[in-house]
Amino acid sequence: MSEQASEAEKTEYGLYFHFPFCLRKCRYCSFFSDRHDNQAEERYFESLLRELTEHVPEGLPLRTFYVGGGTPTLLEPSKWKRLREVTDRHLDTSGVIESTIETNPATSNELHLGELLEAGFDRLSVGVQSLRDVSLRILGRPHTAQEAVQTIRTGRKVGFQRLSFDLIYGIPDQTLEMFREDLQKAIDIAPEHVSCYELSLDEGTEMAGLHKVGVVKKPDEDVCKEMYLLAHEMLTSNGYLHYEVSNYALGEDNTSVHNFCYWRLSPYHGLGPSAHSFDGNRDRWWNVSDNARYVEMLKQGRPPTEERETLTAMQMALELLMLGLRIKDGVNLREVAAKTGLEITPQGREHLEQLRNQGMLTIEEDRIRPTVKGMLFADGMARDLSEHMES
Amino acid sequence: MERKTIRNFSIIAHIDHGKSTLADRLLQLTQTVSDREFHDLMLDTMDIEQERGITIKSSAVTMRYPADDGTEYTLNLIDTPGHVDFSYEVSRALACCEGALLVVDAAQGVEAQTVGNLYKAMEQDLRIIPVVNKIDLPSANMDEVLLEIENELGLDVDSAVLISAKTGEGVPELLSTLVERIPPPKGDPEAPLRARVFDSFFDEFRGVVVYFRIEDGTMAKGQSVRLMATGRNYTAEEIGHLGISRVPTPELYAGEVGYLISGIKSVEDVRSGDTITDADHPAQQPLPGYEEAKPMVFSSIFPVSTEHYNDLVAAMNRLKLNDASLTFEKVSSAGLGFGFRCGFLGMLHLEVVQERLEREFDMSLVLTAPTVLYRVTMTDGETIEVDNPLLYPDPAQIRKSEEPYIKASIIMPDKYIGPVTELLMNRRADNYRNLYIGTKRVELTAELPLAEVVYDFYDKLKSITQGYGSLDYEPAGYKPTDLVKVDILVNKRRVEALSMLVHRDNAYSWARNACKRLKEEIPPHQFKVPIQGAIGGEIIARETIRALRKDVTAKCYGGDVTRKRKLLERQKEGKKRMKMVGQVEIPQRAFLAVLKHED
Ligand SMILES: Nc1nc2c(ncn2[C@@H]2O[C@H](COP(=O)(O)OP(=O)(O)O)[C@@H](O)[C@H]2O)c(=O)[nH]1
Ligand code: SF4
Repeated sequence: MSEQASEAEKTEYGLYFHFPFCLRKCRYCSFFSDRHDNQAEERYFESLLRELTEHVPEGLPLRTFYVGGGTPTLLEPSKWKRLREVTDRHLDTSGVIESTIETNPATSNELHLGELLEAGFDRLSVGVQSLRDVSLRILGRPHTAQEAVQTIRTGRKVGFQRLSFDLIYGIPDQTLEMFREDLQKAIDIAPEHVSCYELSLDEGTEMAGLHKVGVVKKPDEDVCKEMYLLAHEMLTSNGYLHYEVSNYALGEDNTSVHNFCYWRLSPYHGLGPSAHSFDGNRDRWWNVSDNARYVEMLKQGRPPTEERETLTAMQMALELLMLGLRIKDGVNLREVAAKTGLEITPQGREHLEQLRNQGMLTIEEDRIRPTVKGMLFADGMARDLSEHMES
Repeated sequence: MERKTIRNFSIIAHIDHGKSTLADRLLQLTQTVSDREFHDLMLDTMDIEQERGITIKSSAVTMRYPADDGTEYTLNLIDTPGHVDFSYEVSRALACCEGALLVVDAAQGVEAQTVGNLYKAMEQDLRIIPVVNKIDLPSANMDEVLLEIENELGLDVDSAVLISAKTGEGVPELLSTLVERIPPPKGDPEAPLRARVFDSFFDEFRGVVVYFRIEDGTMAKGQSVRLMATGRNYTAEEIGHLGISRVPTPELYAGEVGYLISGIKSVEDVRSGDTITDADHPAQQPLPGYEEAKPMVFSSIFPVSTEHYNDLVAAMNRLKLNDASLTFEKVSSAGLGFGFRCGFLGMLHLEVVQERLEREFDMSLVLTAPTVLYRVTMTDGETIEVDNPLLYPDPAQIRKSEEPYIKASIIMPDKYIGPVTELLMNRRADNYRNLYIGTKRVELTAELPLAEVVYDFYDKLKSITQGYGSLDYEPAGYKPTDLVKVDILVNKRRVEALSMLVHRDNAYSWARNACKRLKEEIPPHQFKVPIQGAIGGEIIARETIRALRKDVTAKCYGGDVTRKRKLLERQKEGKKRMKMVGQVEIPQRAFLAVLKHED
């Protein structure tokens, strides 16, 4: 992404729809989703349209359109089509340059995917997670590796030009060798985009519980780090750009424009239960993580907001650093100062020098860019650097 | 007031057996507090004490009780602290009473925290009234409990009263038994004034308020009084009784309990056990039993961040107003900056001070490893006292080292003799003796190095004896010892706060434990952090904290930036409680964790 482009993002929004249902809960999942149920789905969909037309400012200019979940392909394509039509009428979609929909293997067929393409989606993101059946079972995914590959092929076949898929590493019982095989298979399939992230044991998930009691054990930290480096090595030597801690794209054109909204603090509007929004300035708010309450609040004509917050200058700076240091392009300290009024202190400059010497980042005037190693320490670096920001 | 209508008493009870509930009930029944005022009422004032279920400060309240015979009695309830660190304060408070209520839970039976204080009360010849509480409980077993009181504590249960402090049942009978059984105070109202101080505290508006009981003579408002320990004179600006608030009176007589406000600036100047006398006609002798506050354990306190030294100075000075036992002086250290070298009565006292500084004054602190006062004779014959490991001289110049001993007395049911003896032996006990008192109870006496007692001896004893062992100790002079200084190095740097003087036999286990605890508490850094224990140049223990592999959340999309930012904010907050030693951040709690030693 060029810097000029980020100018335009300030005014154009990313639009996100959360589809809160899945066939069943994967063991590691901490996203908000309920077990799929036709009636609940119907109420949800009506409410979603209501939220869109009643609670999003009319004519809001969009840059990206993203449907995630959950498992959005459990909903009939015609409904997604309708959602797009309503969006077209209500908001300004003339500037939309990317429309993504997520799918899980074995939840969509050729017909479905064809209709989605026709409805205007141009990017398909497939929740593959692993190309090894045993790993999929450990993760509690309701599909096989074969089905995952099939879904990607189908996506390709119906004409999706931009395919993305997720791979998880650091799965219990997974060895470096197994992960290498996953990566090789992924490279052979040659999607335009790969998200490759380490399994995290989020509090409250079944996986975290199993791990705590010792039923499963993640590979050692050293192995996970090797996996990260292996992904970097194999994917970059096959033409992928490592543009965010966990994201790779076949060239700049294939990076996820929508996700850049999050990482660059551009404005985005999230609809559906648990969806988050940011006004591009100082305000963040998010919806209730409860389908019934979501429906109820909208029925009463209220926005389904759970909470909102206004960022302080320091919080803003911390976010800019935390998110900026995740991406290859890093963060420009001059921009941070412009947005927050906080400047890096001379001590902070010294700290930056140290980080540079440790091979964590590069410094080019006011822009700091994490190295491949540095990306792994984005949170720590952001935390420490923010201590050196002053007005 | 007629002396024969006064009753001074205390309540002795195991935690949770109902001391506070009974006190509340007594206050209500005697209409000392209206029901409406009740919810505001607390005998224990400090948060920390409440949370830990211990009473640190002695306190007192006066109640009026109209008995059936038409006489109005004055009942003074004097509260006692419940930890060995404060054993001196307990005995001074009990010295002000003629009797005590021993409260036992009818469902739990006799438990032991009581035993120590009961024994002290018996030593002072107090009349004991056994009170069996919670008789409303279905699980109450009065007969068995009474039998226990008789057999295990050797008390006469004829005068025992059965009550429910909760419902109030039996409490009126308890009141009449109390005035009947507990003798009125003796003492000569005509003799020169002698009043025994049992508590004092600092009042924002009035300065120090002293609580006392008059043994002999009379105290009058405006009188010139003297504190016999310091010899300082004050004017009695205000004296009075202790209702739920203070009730000023012109005069107080022998046998009465009251308070005094007289422009005393700091509680340091009035210690429990001190005698107040008439400055113009002083008594010949102070009341017996007074002892100087003797710090037993020393530790330095530093602010985690050196900028907060001035805040610490202010906090320490405030604390001192309320805590007479705390002694301190300024120190500075290369690694920790400016702070205070403090003396404490014991580890609990140290912990309470630390918690008050942190909670009431919002300080973030590093405390150095506590130590006792060693005596070191140099090769040139000079003898110095060392209370700070950092000031320990070069071993080559030391002729001999001595450490303080205490004489411990432990009273417990005889079935615990085995494990307690073993505990004593592990703690280098000397001159060990045991003596049966009663058929099933035994008193063990032994001389122990104070250093072996201060850390966790009391807790260990309590757990071995399931609470039935009581501990009391007194200083027993110095004995030669074989001391070494163990340093702890984190990333090759000595952590001054963790240097420790220990007996050579304990050096290895101390060092190993310290390294292990630090490994658990210090979060990983971007580099590998070696932790070592050393005597001089010799490494005797080591652990390594592996380098951090990553410090980033794997997945960051879906727009929930808030949660991730909050995580970092919490970590930043946590960092404020970390001490930098070289490049390594040591969480403040690591310093405390090191002291928790497992045998
Ligand atoms: N059932 C019953 N509970 C009681 C009685 N006296 C006290 N308690 C309860 O026992 C617990 C401990 O009482 P408390 O007075 O705080 O004990 P302390 O620790 O000795 O001061 C509290 O939950 C009281 O409500 C009683 O006579 N009957
Ligand atoms: S499919 Fe995705 S959203 Fe649904 S449970 Fe699995 S991980 Fe969670």
